[in-house]
Amino acid sequence: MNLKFSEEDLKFKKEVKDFIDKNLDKNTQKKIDLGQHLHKEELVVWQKKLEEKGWLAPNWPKEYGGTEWSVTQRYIFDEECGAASAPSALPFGVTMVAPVIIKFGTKEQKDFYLPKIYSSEHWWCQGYSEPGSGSDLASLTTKAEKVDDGYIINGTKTWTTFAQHADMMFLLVRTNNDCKPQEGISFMLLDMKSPGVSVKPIITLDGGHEVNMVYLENVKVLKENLIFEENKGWTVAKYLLGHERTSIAAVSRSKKALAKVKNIAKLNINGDKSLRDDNRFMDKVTKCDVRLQALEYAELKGISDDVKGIPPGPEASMLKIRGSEIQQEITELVLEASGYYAYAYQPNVLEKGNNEPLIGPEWSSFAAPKYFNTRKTTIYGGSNEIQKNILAKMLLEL
Amino acid sequence: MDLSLTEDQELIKNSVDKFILESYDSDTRRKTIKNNIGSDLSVWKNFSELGWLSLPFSEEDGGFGGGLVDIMILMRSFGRGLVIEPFISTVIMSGAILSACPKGLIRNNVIEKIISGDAKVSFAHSEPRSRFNLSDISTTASLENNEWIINGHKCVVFGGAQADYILLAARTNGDRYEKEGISIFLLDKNVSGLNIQDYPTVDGFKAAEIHLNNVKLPKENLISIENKSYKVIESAVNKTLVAVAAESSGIMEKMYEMTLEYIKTRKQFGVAIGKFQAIQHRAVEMLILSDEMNSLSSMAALKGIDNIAALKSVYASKIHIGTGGRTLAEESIQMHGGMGVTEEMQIGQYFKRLIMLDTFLGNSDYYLDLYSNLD
Repeated sequence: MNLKFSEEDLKFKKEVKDFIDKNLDKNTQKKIDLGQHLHKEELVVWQKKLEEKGWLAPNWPKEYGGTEWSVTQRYIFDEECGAASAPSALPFGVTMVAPVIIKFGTKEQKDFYLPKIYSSEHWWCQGYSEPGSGSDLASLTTKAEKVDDGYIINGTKTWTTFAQHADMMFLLVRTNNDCKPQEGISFMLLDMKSPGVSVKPIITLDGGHEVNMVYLENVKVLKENLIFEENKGWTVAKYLLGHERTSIAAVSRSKKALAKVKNIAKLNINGDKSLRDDNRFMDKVTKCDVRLQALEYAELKGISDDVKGIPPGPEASMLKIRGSEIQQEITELVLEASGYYAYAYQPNVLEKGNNEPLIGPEWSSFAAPKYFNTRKTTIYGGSNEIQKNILAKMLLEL
Repeated sequence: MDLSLTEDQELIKNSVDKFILESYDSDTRRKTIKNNIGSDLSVWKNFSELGWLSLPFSEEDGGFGGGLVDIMILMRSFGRGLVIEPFISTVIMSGAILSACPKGLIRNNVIEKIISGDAKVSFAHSEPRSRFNLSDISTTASLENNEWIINGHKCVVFGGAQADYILLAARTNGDRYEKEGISIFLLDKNVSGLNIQDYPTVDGFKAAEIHLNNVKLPKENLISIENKSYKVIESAVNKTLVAVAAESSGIMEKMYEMTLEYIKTRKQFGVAIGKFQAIQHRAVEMLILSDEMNSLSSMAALKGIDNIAALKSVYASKIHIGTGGRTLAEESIQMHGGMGVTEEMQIGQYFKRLIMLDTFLGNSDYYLDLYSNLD
């Protein structure tokens, strides 16, 4: 056992770091640092930089733009992006639907969609959850009726991140009712400009607009846009969920965020004392750090297994549970450190062209909205209760 | 011993509950959040007519002469209704400060205007680096040619821009941190040299940064006893803590009820999620936390603020907001799932208020310290 990276890996690490330093917009970096939402344009700027460098889609096959990085290199890349507060490429295209298309798609589907994802021409969203189907995803009722050249879709999708900017949606629909719920689901690709699609914003607790309701009324999907086979959508969805869950531990981002808390604790914000003099506060910081260290090791172990070709098991659910809790704890610490200035609500203060004066220190300016918004991490991507069900069933065999 | 409400107390409770049920829905609240005055004037007028603005003031001052238990009853119902009027800043906090100042023309006039609903008042105390320390005051007031000259920066003054008058704690003597040397001034908010930066708070209220640059005040606008106001501030804060604990208790009770309703109706896997034991045990834990808040808040109101045993109850109730209250708040959002993080659902509005009440007047860590030092 050893934790060392090879010389080559270290060289690569430096290359990534230099690239980010040189190319990442400072305001974008600051917004991520403070927990602010990014606009589509800000993400596109970064994706374009990655595209030019050829680093946008490391996990794709080389012919479509993949980097052929080793597992360790991919890890290093993610780690450096987290440490530098660089945005992730919008996951719905590059890391979610693309691997599905690569694994299950036809040659035509690959040739058509992958280049458009790579060039940021197609912006994707995910149509999974429905108002009545959250944790119990397999109960979904959005219906796809077969017609000559495709399907007519009717139903409602919810929690659809970035639907307001999306060109395409990948979605799960019901194509058969006379069987086990999982066996009557199909995976399809839908053009958001199709007649019958309407998007309604859902404003979240922090006042932000990330997620939406998407209403589908008699929307036509051509049969060329079915992925894999009819009624085999659950197989596709399970493949994709595996991708979502490993990145959800957010170790490098949490390390960065916790380091920030430690810096805040050095400031004289309590008279001429700092929070470092406050054992109650520092104990919470340290306990969080202890859990984060354990999480980091668990993540590294997963990567090491991956290198050895050992497939990921239900342990990924543990990473999701602890990773999401730690993210929440860190936002609590920033909120507590902020004291009274946590009250100030200035959602647009970092936007370009905004002249309102900043209230209180910059580091506290989004403490409360960030804390409110981060409640979602234990809910999305399969709530932590569902993760515990998975572990109880698969690992504990209860 | 009798822990049931008296007839008069029942009357207060019924009148507040009736008002909230009939005249204070979530739309009223949302409209108030969006306006610039941080209040719904017709609601405030109702408060005055119903006598609530006079509740803590003595009969001698034209008030109802209510005690902490009366305030607790009112605030618990305000918590349940998630009332967003500047009641705490004007009536409870500023009311307590004014009541404790020696009688005089200026003081009496402001109290009269609060009771009639014609004036709102804010207490400007905390400063950018004072955190929760009540005696950390750097704002200075010095007497020159029979006029006070005031300089300093007061931060996160609740309702500061909307208030007609500002009560200001400033140092007339001594060094920063010293309890001795603090005095209280009354400012008309149109006085020159006052720069007020208004902003919304994350829980729907209004606050302001107040910069004082050579503000000149007549001598008589020092309304407290000169240099001897620390006790007045401390006691006003403690009274306000009783009100805040009661509000939190109402909020927690309501959050528990809303969550219980949700888990009884939200179906997944073919059954109401409340049928799952994992959820049931957590819901019971929420009930206990809410019940504890109710107990602590009642105990605090009954014991008052005048001795160490009483202060322990007051601090205990404040500590529970940031510990048990936070747990309950986070659990209620989690059990609402995605719906819990939407702006539209009421549960989130209660969540934000309860979370921020931990910070208000000092968070649970701060009161854990104060409490341990009482023993």
